Amino acid sequence: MTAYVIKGNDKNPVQAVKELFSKLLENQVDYIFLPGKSPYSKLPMPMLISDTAHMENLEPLAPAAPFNSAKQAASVLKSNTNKKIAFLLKPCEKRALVELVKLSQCSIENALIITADCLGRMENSTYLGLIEDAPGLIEAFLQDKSFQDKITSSCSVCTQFTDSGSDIHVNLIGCSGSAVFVPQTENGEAVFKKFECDRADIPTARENEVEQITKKHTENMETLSDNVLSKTKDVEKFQELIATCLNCYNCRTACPVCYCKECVFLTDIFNHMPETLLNRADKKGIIKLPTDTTMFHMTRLAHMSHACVGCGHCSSVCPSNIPVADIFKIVSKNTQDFFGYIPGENTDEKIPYLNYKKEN
Amino acid sequence: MNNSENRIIIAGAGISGIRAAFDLAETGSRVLLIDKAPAHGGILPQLDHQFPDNHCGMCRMLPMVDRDMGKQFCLKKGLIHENIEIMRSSEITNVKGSPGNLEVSLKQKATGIDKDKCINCGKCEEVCPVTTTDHFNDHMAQRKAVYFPVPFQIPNNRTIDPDACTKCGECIKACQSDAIDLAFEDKKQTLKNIHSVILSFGNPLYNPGETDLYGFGTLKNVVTSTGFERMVSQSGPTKGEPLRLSDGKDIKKIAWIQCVGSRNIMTGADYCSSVCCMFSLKEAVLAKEKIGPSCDTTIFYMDMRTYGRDFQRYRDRAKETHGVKFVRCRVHSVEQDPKTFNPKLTYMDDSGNQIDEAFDLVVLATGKRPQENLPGFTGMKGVHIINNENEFKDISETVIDASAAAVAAGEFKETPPQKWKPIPTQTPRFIVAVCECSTSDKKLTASGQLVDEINALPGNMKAVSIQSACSQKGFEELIEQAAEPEFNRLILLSCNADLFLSKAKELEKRTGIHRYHMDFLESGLPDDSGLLSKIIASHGALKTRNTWQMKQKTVYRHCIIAGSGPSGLAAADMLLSRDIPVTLVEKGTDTGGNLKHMTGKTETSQVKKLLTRVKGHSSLTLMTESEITSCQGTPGNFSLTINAPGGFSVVPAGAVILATGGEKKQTQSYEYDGERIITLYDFEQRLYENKTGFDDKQIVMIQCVDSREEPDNYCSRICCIKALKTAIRIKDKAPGSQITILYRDIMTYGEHEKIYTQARKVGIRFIPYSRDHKPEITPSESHTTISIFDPVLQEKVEIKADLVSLSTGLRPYPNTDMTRVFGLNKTQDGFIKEADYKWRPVDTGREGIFACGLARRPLNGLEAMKEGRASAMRAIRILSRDIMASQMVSAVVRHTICSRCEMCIPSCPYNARFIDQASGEVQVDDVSCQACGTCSSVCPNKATVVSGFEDGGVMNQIESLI
Repeated sequence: MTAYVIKGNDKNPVQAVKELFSKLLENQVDYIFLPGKSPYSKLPMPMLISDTAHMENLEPLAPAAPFNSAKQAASVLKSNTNKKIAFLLKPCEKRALVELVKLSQCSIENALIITADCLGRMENSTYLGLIEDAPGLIEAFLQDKSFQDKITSSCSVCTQFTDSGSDIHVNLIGCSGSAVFVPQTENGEAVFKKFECDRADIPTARENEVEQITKKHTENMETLSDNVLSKTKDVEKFQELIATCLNCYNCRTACPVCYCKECVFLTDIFNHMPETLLNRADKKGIIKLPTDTTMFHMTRLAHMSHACVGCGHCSSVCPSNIPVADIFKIVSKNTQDFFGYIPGENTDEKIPYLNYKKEN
Repeated sequence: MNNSENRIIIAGAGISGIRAAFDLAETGSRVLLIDKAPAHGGILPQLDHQFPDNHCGMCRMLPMVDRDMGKQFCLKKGLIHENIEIMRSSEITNVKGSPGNLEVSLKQKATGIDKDKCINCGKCEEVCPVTTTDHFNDHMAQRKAVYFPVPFQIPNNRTIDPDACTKCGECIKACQSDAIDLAFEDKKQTLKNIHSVILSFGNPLYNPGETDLYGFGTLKNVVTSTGFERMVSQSGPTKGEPLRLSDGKDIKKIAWIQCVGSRNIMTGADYCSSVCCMFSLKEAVLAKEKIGPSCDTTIFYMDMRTYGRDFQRYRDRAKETHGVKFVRCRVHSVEQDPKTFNPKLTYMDDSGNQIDEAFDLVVLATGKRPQENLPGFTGMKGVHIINNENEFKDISETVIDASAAAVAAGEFKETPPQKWKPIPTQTPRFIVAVCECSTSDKKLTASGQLVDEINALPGNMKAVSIQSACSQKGFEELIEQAAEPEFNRLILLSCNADLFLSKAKELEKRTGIHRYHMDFLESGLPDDSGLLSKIIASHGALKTRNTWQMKQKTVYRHCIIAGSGPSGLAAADMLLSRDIPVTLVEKGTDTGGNLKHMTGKTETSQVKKLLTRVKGHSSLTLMTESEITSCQGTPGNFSLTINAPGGFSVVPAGAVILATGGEKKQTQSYEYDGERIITLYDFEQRLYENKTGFDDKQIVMIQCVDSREEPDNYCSRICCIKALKTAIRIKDKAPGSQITILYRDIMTYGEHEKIYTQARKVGIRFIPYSRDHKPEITPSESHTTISIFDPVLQEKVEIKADLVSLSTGLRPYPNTDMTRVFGLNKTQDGFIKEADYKWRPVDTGREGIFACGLARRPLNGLEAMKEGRASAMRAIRILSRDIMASQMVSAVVRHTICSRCEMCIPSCPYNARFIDQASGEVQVDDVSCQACGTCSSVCPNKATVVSGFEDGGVMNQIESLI
């Protein structure tokens, strides 16, 4: 496999990525889409840039993200504008975007998707706390293993932290501080034909390191699985786990694959009249408010567990600290294993509900 | 009864009668469907599991056009359609007059019970002292002389079996509603102005007790195939538990013996019963499913006749996936172990050794007996016969036959558009009728209290109590109460809710309450505490049913048929004879299809006749060297692009029939050289050209060349018969010739068996081979050496052949594949896939597009013509009407909240959904939509709903139950 490094930036992955996007915007694409600092917060938010003058605001590879940016990416791809846009996405963001393509929410025909090895993200508060004291945090994070213990629960069980389906994948793991760019499609290959860069080899240490992380995360997953399953044995247990849900629907808003224009839980069906609530109270003697929280989470599991990419943002945004992502992780593993379905793998794979047939 | 509008009488309410009745009813014809038996459905109510998925599926026959005219209801239970009247225990005694104006005499046997008075309390059955065997359970269980002919049918009144009844009068004493009359006087009547009569008698089943074959009737654990079906049926004597009826023991080892009463000259059966191989295969797989994979199943057969399109792969799966065993032999005898009562089979294995093997159960694959004593009017003009070949057929071919007969019998005046009462939009006001029975044990214990409780509920409900609403008297009382103008919703709580489905039309007419606003609830057990909840739930659902707007579309009275072979021509002929204009689109330069390659004289002359008739018709447009390149629109309203030599044209059509045909396969196998190693088709051609020189020649014919194995793992159905006919003709011309046929299974189904018998008589040699031990072929200068393992001799034999004929099969034309143009499915072998193999064989997955002939499956010319006629019938369902209208319950898209993820489109089993290119919105084709609700369950935010089942109503129901 051919791989490339950016001249002069072979020891600074953040700069290397910036340089790549800068070059892309100069003469290959109309827009670039990648995380950057806003004037108001140090948390990196997705930025859509048309002019190379703004490159210094970019903050790629930061171990933080206030949300999964797939929906934002889809928002500029939902109809054909004939403009080329290059995206930098975390693998889970790319997978979510692919799911949205399958759900006809956008098209990636004119998109150049670039992914990078992901060592996980921290919760917003953790990241903000650390970045105050350590300006070189991003670079340090890629090197220093002690930081990597601070990643979210979902990231610590993630085994899809690399990507093989994007146009270009940025190898970081096992690359001793370099960013090694690997084109994975014809479109990706074409990018490197248009500007000067050095051919490179993928470091041999990479394979082993990827394997180590995978092993560790798989073990974490087993622990998580035992833990969640013991807490969700039956409906009562499950209700206990989600007892403090306040129907804020943050998890749904944060979910990158929850794509409905208007959620069914916002429609009249769940907008109960007082008589209904009183009637329920009459029947049972006591009811908890708000109602329908179990129904809400169960419904979301039924609707989206096949497409869950495991980004964990549902947990991150929960004001009641419900481990929504952990529950999703376990349920969706079962759903996805049952259908033999890997969400976000490629756009050709059909959503399992649509081509599942019971064998004779 | 005596509805003067009935114009067509169908005698025989089995599958074929029902299919014909529905076909005609869908075109607006009034049909009287009668059956000798006191129940409808023929043998079907006895069979729970059908090939290939072991489900029933009979309901897939239900009308899909104007479905509001009938009830979407289990067909084994009840057949409810406004245009069909059913008379049970009846037969035609005479037919007079001429087609279009027949006079038909009917005789209806008395059942001994007046259904207008009977309240189904069951006292008569309790006291009846007579016990006899139950036909419904293949005589494996007992019943009284007063009984339910089919225990689960509606309307279901008990019947008295006059042959078993001793007229002791106990039942009369027990009956509280004076409903019994043991005089058994037949009712006779004559109906005039009948357009046509269809006879669908079916064939009787062979009774193996007749000739005492294999100990049926004397040995305890030997049953017929029907018996086995009853043993695994939910409504059977063991409630579906697969246990031996003689001693209740588990069944672990089962043998099926094929050809019992078939293919046996000694029992006067020089025919194959055609369907037994497949039902035994199905039963063996079913046994594995019901009893467990460890159940040992063996089929003893002579030839496994898997001659249907997908049958060979089913057989392979039975063997390889399910582990069904196959033994090729005629079982010599069956005896019984005196201690265990296990039947013991004696048979010879391949090497000629005698084997004795015990089983827990032996199933005799019993076939057909010919129809006997057909009535004198059978051959009359205006009297049409389904299955005039007197053959046993599987469901698929039976319904094709039925549709083909229906199209010939129908008159198809233009169907007036349905006029439904608009759904009223006043405030819902309910009458809740609680039916009370006069028999104490079925009485709702607290019915008075229930009425009070309902009256105390909010929501404009008034409860009343009715005495026996199932009796005529009670029904009148119900109508009187409900007809009060204050009510516009009806909830009826009774012990037999299904019964009232068939009375909904009358209720609507006489009470003024819209049928959409009625609900019939089953009261269940007397101590049912959920009754009030049921009523609240029903109230919740009915109160939201307010809006329905009928959408209409005009129908183009024009049919486009692709392909001018036998099936296309037969379809065109039928449509043209009904004044429906036809455009015949033929890809080639000439019409007639595979006519050139047909040897059958009947087929050739029939196609010639068809060609003359069709081409001479003024309403025919013939387009040769033309091809359909696109199809847009909805049933009744298609718009097709046709590419003709003069350029493209856009042609509107109400329906399309795909009869694109197929071709004979060529081969490179077995050293084919076209000279001394030729195909069967070449061989036929040589005979046709009167070539001679076969005397004293060694001729070897190899069957199943490149067939019945992957990739073309299907039987082409015609090759065995063609090969045998050819061999017989050679023998006739050149008696000195030696002919050997190397075969895997000889597929002479039905009456074709006689050809096989004749071939053996004239001295043609047959050597079987298996897929694993194919004949080996070595050509040399002077002759071709064929070496094959002979299982009888148990050694390899060599034949030096002068001529080798290879039976290659048929395949659909690869270059006229219309499936892409029409968005249809194909089988893995490239045949057009129908909507449902058994129940809707000539419909495709898209309503209004039909498929027939060789494009759909391998078949002979006569069968192709029949399929063509059947598809014409299906097309007339649409073409005979002016408009197509949406139905009351139908899918609707709420565009404002639709995210356009398009998941609903591929998930719709009826291809009824599409994206409107202009607006980008998801649209529903109201005609194709069958309101199954799949779209609504796939849609995550209920942007698509099924009218009448909106969330509000459903949530109201749930709310009342939690």
